[in-house]
Amino acid sequence: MTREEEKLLITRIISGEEHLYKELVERHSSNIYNLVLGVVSGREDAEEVSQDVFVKAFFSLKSFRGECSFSTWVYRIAYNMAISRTRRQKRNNVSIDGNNCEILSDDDSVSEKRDEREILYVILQKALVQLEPKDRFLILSFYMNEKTIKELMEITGMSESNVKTRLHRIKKQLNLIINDTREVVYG
Amino acid sequence: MDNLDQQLSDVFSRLKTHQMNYNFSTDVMKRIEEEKNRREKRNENITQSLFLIFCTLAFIASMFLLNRYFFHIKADAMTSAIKGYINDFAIMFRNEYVSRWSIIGVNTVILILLEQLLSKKFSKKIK
Repeated sequence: MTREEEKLLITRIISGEEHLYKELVERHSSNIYNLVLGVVSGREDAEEVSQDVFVKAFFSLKSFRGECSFSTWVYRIAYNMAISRTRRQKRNNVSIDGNNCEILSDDDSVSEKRDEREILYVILQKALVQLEPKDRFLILSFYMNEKTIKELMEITGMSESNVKTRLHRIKKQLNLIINDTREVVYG
Repeated sequence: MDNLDQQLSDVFSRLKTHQMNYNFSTDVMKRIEEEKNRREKRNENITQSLFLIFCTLAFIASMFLLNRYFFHIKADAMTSAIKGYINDFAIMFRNEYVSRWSIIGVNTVILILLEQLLSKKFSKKIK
């Protein structure tokens, strides 16, 4: 669906054809859910936050001016909601660690195969939870959802240099963790 | 794109595979309907409250006008009567026994209200 088609669809939703919103939800829900799942703790919370994102987006549709794509706009809502959920989880002492974060589901076959890519996959999952929620959001949007620097600027409200610096720092941090873990695994 | 970038893209793309509840979009639409109903109800309550306030003000104004132009009760007489009521009330509170218990009562009410407000706020945050 092109940006113009999406804009037209949104206009139709605003003018009363609300059932069409389901199409937008179906189009973007998977990306938003997987992204939120990487930031907050637990599948249930991730699903609740993702639903909240789409409900909020629906009631704010009139304020969508089409300056950016709908996807970027929804990501901005997801960013704010996911970060505020992690703050609440922190206050309520819900720890995001390797055991309760759903994105880190242990897969026995992975450790059995000892294939380097598989190991890297597990290491990265473990490394992800050590990052700050904002950094997790940035790195996941960049690599998993292939958002550009410009889009990340629009989503997070950070400056270009800030986004680039953060991404560079996160990559460095991940690289360090990967190398450390490789040393432990391979000696 | 360097080697690390390639590795990260490769691994992160695998994180994308988590499947959500297949009723997700239906659930979202259901929640939108619920939220719409809730907002409609809230707007209705606000409209009703505003209407009630308007009716009360209209009633007070009509009573005032009726007193003034139909029963020819002067405003001075009305204000002096009100002053009299306030004085009576104040005299009642000057009584040491009454004033002591009324202060205790007012403080208790304030404490209960504060407790209710705080507990509601905290229970909302925990949810």
